[in-house]
Amino acid sequence: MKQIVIISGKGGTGKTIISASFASLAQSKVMVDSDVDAANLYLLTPPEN
Amino acid sequence: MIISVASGKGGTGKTTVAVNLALSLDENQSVQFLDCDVEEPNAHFFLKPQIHKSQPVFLPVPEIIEEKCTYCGKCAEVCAYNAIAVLKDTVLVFPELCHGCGGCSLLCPEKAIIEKGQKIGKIEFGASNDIQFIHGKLDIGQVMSPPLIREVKKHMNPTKTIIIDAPPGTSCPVVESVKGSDFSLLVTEPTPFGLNDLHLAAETLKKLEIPCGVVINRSDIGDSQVEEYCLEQSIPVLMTIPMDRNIAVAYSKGETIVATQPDYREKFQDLFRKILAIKK
Repeated sequence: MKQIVIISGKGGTGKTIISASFASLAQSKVMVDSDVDAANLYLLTPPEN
Repeated sequence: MIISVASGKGGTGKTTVAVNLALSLDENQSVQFLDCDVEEPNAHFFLKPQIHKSQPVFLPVPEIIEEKCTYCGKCAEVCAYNAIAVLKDTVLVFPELCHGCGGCSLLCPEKAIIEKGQKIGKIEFGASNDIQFIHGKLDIGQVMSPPLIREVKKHMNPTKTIIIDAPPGTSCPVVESVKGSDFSLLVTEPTPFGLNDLHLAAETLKKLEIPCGVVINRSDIGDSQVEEYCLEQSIPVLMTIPMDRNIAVAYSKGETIVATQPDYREKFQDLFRKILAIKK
């Protein structure tokens, strides 16, 4: 499994957008939102239960 | 008066609001600016303070004197942060987990623990015109920002109007930064991301019993859900800053809004007046 981490240092640069974009292009994937303070990825890629 | 500027979401404009508010108050108030975003302080790019003093900050982490240790395990039992593990005939210390509370050395029955200072970062003191400036810089690779934030805040001058630039997020570093504030400004953007994180930040402040108000940055893009949320929760929207390419260009050059658009001074002064009115 290849792991790609998307980080920035600076807030609000577009990490979540880029993560979600990669996720929409990837075939077989696991998405991990480790911004545990304020997780946002689910807003763009709503998980199906 | 201590005003902290927080957000939840990164990149909403906390530093922009904090810096421009501090600069707008300068005429009539004696201002102290504390940049508590110690992992990535940014305010100095805009305030451009003359730094006159730098001081390293150390966290006391335990060191075991093996000859005195009986491996009783009391230190591990006491440690709330799992920074110590006691095995059959050895003690492991994890300095990156240590919060420097001193509990282990205090309660060791054999007095087998001494505290060694581990450098976690530094504090710098300066002045930007009449604004007294202090920021913390956490060393790369260090994870403990709250102790450094506490050190920065030890230098608060209660005779001044204190503006605290808090880090993004809603956990320990933010709590440490906003704790003790008279009022907190939450800077947000009118988008689902802004709303999501604003809600988390507002709940955090509610638990800390710190009154708050909202500044909506880039207010004329996105949707109305943030405003509706604020209305629902009776959180006052104290200022809106529309999307403005000139502001973005100034920001990208390290210039402040009030330097490039002096009309904004009055708007930030108005923001301060509204905070005072709420606090009365």
